[in-house]
Amino acid sequence: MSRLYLKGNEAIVEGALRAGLNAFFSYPITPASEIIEAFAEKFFADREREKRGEKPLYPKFKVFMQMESEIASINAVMGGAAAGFRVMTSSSSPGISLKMEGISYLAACELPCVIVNIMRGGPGLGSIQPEQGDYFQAVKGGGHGDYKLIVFAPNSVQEMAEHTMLLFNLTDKYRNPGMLLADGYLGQMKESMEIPKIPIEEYEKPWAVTGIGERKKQNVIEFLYLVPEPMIEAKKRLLKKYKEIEKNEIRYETYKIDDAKILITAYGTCSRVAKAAVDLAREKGVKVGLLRPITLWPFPYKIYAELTNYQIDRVLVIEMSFGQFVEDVRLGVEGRAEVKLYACYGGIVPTEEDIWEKIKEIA
Amino acid sequence: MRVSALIPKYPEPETYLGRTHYCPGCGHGILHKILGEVIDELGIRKKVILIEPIGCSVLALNYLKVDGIQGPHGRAPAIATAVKRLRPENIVITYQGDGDLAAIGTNEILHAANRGELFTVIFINNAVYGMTGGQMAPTTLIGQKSTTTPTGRKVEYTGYPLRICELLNTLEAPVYLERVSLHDVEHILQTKAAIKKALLKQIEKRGFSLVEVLSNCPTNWKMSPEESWEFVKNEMVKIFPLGVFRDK
Amino acid sequence: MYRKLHLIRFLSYQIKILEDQCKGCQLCVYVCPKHLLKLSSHTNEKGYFVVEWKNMGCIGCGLCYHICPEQAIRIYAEVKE
Repeated sequence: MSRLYLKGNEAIVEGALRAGLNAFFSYPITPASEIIEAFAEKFFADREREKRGEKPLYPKFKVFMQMESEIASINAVMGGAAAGFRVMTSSSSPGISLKMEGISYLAACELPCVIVNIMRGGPGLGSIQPEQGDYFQAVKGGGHGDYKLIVFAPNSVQEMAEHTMLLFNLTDKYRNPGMLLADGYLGQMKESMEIPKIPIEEYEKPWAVTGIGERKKQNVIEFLYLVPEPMIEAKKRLLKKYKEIEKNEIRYETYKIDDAKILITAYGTCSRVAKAAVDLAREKGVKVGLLRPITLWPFPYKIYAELTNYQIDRVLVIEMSFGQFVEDVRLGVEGRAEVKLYACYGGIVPTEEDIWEKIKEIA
Repeated sequence: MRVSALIPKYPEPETYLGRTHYCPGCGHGILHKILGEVIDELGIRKKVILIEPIGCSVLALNYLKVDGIQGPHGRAPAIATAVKRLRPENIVITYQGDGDLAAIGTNEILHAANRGELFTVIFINNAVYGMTGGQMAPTTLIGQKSTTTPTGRKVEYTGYPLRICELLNTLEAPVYLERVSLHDVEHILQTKAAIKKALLKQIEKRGFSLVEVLSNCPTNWKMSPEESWEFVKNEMVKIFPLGVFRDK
Repeated sequence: MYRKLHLIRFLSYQIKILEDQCKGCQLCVYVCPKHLLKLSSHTNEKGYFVVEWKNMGCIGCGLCYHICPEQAIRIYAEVKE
């Protein structure tokens, strides 16, 4: 069996288990509840196997807990990550807001972990329809202080699994928390996918809290400095790490940009529709290309600058929010081209005909 | 006769390093010292993971030579849940003050106790928020003055002091709940015995244990160390009765 | 060894105060049953007035050791010959 037919949320579970996840702590929320339910099913099925004397299918998956709140979930993730294990949590927009203090602590203490955000309508309680309104929260902060999360934006069920596995490797490699930013559409849709083939990269964790044992120095996970000098040093280290990630881990995808005059750009679900819109526009005679960022942080600013240097003079940004991603596009374009926004908020996913109408306006 | 040798009466501490930043006469120093002695006597220093709170004892791991984690305010039981379940062979201890456990962290401690998590909680209760300068705590006594109750704590604005041991005693899962005090050496040694018993419950994998320790805050109560211990003995013990609430 | 000390009767004791750790809180002064401790008039490096001992009469009860928050007191049994 080399192909699976899964919902996006279930694909995340599949990817995480294949990446050797050790613990999952979460709280149910629409549209992400399938994630905690799928983990529960697999965890307890393994415990039943053990009772019958058989081997568990996922021996590394040691702990599953439905915690009492979103806040308790992110703090349990902090405990598990500090103890040196691969841990994950999942939620949706309002729950991610609750986790923000914990995320700031995780970034400060340099603890690797994966946080899944299946975005829904906001602000406030909003709706359970998909939106892309958490871009700023994921990429520009959300929690207090200077920090960055490694953010991946998948656009297919295959990528939901693969990006989860990549995030486990990258977060361990750089000792930084990471976020998988999907939306309710991706979480709920069912697609055929191949078995992901991302290898598990093991990294040593000499900093992990394991009990002092024979070590001479205690391992303490903390980030509190009462005087400026050591704080400056600590933050310089964080900054150096972020620069390294920016240098090495930018990922993006382009489609038919070589002779394009108009560039459309989108991430997540919108990028799939945008690809179809490129083909539709080219049929109608307008040369359009697509740039899709895969990592939202580190953001491919330089690619936007390169592409708008020559024949591309108009950029159409498509996103399901008031306009958050568009600000980073404007920063990347640096005034070389006109940037227009097609903001499709409220829970509707744009169709390629909708996008074609907008392209006609600027063609 | 001349003195030919001096034999120390007590062994040199291994876990507690002293030289703290706490105020002179503060109960944190005494409690850290007792915790260190119990860890030394049980021989578990190499396996202990201590979760420190936000409060005066946020730097507890500078004075107790064990591995540990400094988590957000009140969330230590959630962190300890994950650490103990992933590392069951380690001894996990959370050390929390009255703001950490009884104000912002009530949800976490209630659910961790209800699940019967296998770690030990040391809850040090001094009826005031020390670190931030002496504001009211959930355990502040009625009529007690603090910077946010300048004319004394009044029931119609702030309710009554919270009794954590009694609250947790209504749950099925905890196996050991005791309230002790540090106001004189007899009670200090009782506290030491209670902590030892609580840690043995964890070592024997029996279940969740919590020791509530009544302590002082000479600086924010605006008393000398001796007066502050008199206050604990005469006033606090009336509202927070000492004793074993559960021992399964 | 520490547990067998109490079996030897008629021992006399000394205490030593680790002055650089003492904060002058005077809990030991308060608790000593023979009133052998008092606040001295000299300070340590941190500026605290440290506690001093009368240099005689200690019965080795250990109350000062147990109440000191800084663990700044050490008690020794004197072996005489």
